[in-house]
Amino acid sequence: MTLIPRNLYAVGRDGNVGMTVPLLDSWTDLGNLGGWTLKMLARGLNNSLYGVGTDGNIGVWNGSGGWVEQTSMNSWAVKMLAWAPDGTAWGVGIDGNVGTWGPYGWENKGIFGGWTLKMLAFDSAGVMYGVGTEGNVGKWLTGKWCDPHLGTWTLDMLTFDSAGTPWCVGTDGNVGAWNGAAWADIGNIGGWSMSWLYFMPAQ
Amino acid sequence: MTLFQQNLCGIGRDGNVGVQAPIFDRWSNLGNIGGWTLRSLAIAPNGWIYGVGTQGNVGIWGIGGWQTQEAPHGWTLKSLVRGPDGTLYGVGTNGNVGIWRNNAWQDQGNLGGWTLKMIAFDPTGKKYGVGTDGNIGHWVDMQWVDSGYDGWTVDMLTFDFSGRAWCVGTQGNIGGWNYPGWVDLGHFTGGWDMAWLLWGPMLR
Repeated sequence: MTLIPRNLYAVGRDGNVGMTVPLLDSWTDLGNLGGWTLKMLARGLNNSLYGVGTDGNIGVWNGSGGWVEQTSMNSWAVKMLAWAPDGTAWGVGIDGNVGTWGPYGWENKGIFGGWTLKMLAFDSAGVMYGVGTEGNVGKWLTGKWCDPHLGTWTLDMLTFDSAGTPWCVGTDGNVGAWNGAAWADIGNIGGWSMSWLYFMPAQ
Repeated sequence: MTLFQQNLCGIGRDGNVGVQAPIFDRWSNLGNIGGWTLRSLAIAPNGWIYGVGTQGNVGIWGIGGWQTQEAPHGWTLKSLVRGPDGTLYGVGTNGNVGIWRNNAWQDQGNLGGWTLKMIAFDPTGKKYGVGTDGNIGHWVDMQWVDSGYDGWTVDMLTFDFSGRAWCVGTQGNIGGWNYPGWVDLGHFTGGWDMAWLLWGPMLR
């Protein structure tokens, strides 16, 4: 049996945020935090918490109940953000193109490796993974997308927990945990169809 | 002092349960879980969660709600706690103390002459009692002595995993111990008047 991690947060398909309640083996709905309907959550530099709204807008959680719009980053409407271990911020634009955020704004890397993407993720070793708009998964090696050998599911997103285990959201909104050979279907946690998973870092 | 510790759970004075969402500095209302209005919660070393309802009833949290079959029975309680040796202590509604043994409560009477609200253990196994006057005692040599946690009248006392003492004051406010006194954290748990605090295991 795969246990639901104690530090799991998620964004539901209604843009609301939920989290596990480990003591009671339950799930709680935190609602549309700050009044935003969200696509995803990401941890930026200095553990700041970024959110991407359903309009592709980017905000940073200010710790007292609101999102602070990131005016400069909002020059792109994005699907998601991810920080590589080297501190570089990567984004996937709403057209499935890839960008990196630098001192001069978004640097457009276009349709990266020939794939239009839903999202990007980095494992703890800094290897980049991509989920294509067909739900396919690739691992970026030697300048191209390669087969990561992560099963046969079609995915909406992929992430890694603090132990390095891959987790995903399938295209049915169900949650999967990689058991070393296949995706273990965790199902619809709390009855939710998920958009995104986020593991709270250790504090 | 960190206000928003991981895995903080509490009971409001309406008997509902709240949990902390640390990354958002937010308190989430789980409602009257399992349909019970709760007075207190306790966690056992094996992870079992004991709930004491406002009627003094006791349940163990399981899939689908509060299970009463394996729960201590026979007394109406204010609170429960597991001692460091695994002993289960209960404080009865009359402020007396019981030890659960051989499937029954063994009455220890008014321990040290105090009528109690609750008993707590710090991470080193030291025993504390909160009296019905809101006073806090430390159990030493078979008597209550000054705990050092002075200055407030409290409803309950607990300890987080760093050993820091926390309390709920008789106004339903939360105190965090910062020697030499309580720091009033007010009603940071969503504006709630609190009845109880519980820290679960540290998140992995």
